[in-house]
Amino acid sequence: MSGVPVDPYVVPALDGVAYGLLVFVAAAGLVLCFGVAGILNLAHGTLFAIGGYTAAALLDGGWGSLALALVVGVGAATAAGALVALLLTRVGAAGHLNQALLTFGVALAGGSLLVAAFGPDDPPVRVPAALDGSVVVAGHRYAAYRLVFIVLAAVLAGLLHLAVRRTRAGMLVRAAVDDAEMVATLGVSPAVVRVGVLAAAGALAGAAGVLGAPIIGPGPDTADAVLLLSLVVVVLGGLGSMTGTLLAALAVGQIQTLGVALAPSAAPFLLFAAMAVVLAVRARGLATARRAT
Amino acid sequence: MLRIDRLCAGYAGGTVLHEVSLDVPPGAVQAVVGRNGAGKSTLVSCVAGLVRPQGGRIEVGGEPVAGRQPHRIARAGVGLVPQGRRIFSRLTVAEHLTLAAAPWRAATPGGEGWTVSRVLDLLPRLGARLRHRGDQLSGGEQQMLAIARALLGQPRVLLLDEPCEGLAPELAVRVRDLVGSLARGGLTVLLVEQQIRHAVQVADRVAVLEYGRVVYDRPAEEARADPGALAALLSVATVAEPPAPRPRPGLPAASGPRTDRPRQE
Repeated sequence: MSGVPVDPYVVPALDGVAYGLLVFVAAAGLVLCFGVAGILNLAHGTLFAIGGYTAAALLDGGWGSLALALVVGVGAATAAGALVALLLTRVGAAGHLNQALLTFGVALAGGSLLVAAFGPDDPPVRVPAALDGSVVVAGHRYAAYRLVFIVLAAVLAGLLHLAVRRTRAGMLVRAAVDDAEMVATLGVSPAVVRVGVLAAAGALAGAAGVLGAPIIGPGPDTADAVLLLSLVVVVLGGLGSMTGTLLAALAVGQIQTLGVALAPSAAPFLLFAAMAVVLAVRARGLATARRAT
Repeated sequence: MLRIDRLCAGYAGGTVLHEVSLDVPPGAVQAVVGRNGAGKSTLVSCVAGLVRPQGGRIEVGGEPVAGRQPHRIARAGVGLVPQGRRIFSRLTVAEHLTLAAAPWRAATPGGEGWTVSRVLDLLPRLGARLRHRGDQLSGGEQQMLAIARALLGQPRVLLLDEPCEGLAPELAVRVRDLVGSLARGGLTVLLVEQQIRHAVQVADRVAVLEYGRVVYDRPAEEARADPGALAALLSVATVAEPPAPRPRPGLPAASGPRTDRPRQE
């Protein structure tokens, strides 16, 4: 396939879709945390990093190891999310500053534990051998794993949409975004909702961390980078809005990849310039929260 | 069924309710009326667990519930139809009903459990609006949905906070008659209402709150027989029943003032 040209814009655009969907799966958990439980979880990036490090530790180029990494990574991030919820039990009503301080502390401690366990260097991640190559897409060569990841992430996004739209748990989530107090008067424990939402957010971050490890590799800076990207996506998309989150994540993906290809010198500022413009023009995000989810 | 004993409650250190006591027998409607700021909604919020009491007792079927969290009080058999309805704007009517349905909870003693189909039989208008979101409903439909949502939790005690607020007169009468029919089915009702004539017509007993204190608590028959006394107490024009409105399709048929129930002394 050496004769196939690599287009300077098509490949970054595809990369942007993969990157954007990865950020969406990670940021969706943060949207759930804030929109439903009212919790600003600054440890969210650490949950992603748990998935990433798990992938680096377990992936050996086989399909079985990918399945194992998914089970372990998602399980560990889910448990970590539930643990954060339990730690937040006493400060949950004390305002976002206290929540931010506690979860920031958890992020610092979690990050240190991960570095202690896996070392200070970025560990290599092996994708399944069958996907460790490139395929031709519309005349352009593209990494097979990233193409598969786009499909997987789109499936995850679709499943998340169905879960929020069609299941009783999803109805509970949307109702709690509207009026958590009224949900409690229906006999539903707010603590159970909080733990469930943070555990689900952890599961999403863990899945994104495992599947996205070959794209955003695990390392000491991964948690901060993912948290920052997720916060940008949440601001752009509007709190409580899954549709807005998806649009914002795809936009962030394009800015981070196509933006670099088109305007390399402006690339470092594009992302935050976009966020500043959205905040200035439409502070509630790209999608109105009233129509959200 | 619902016993409130020397209840004190308020906000941020201030006391709104001062030793309020009410005793509502099973299947009775206790109306609580009063001016704005008298503490009516605080009373409902306190029973529902949304406001923590500063003192006193609240019992539901003999079970103390004061100070419990709202979800535990709901599970103890208290349903809430809040002021302003507080419908979930993003959920459809069908989703409201699905979310609220709790068939595993015990039904009212001697009564039939509330299912979605039974609620839709009672409130057929909702059946025609199942796919509409909460914020697409009219005020009357939202009120019906709020009542349906509360009923599906299998309450033994139903709290209604100004259910006729903002409704057209004929709809308010429908809501009032619905409350009456629920009580005849065995449900105990605490009805907070500013439209006094509706409260008096449907209630077995009427209490007046003034500055957080019960200043009047008598059988509703007395208020109906001498509407001027209650009106004078509240400084309002009248508690007499206005002319009956025309029936409207899709809502429960109106009935006259409740005269078919024994006095609850």
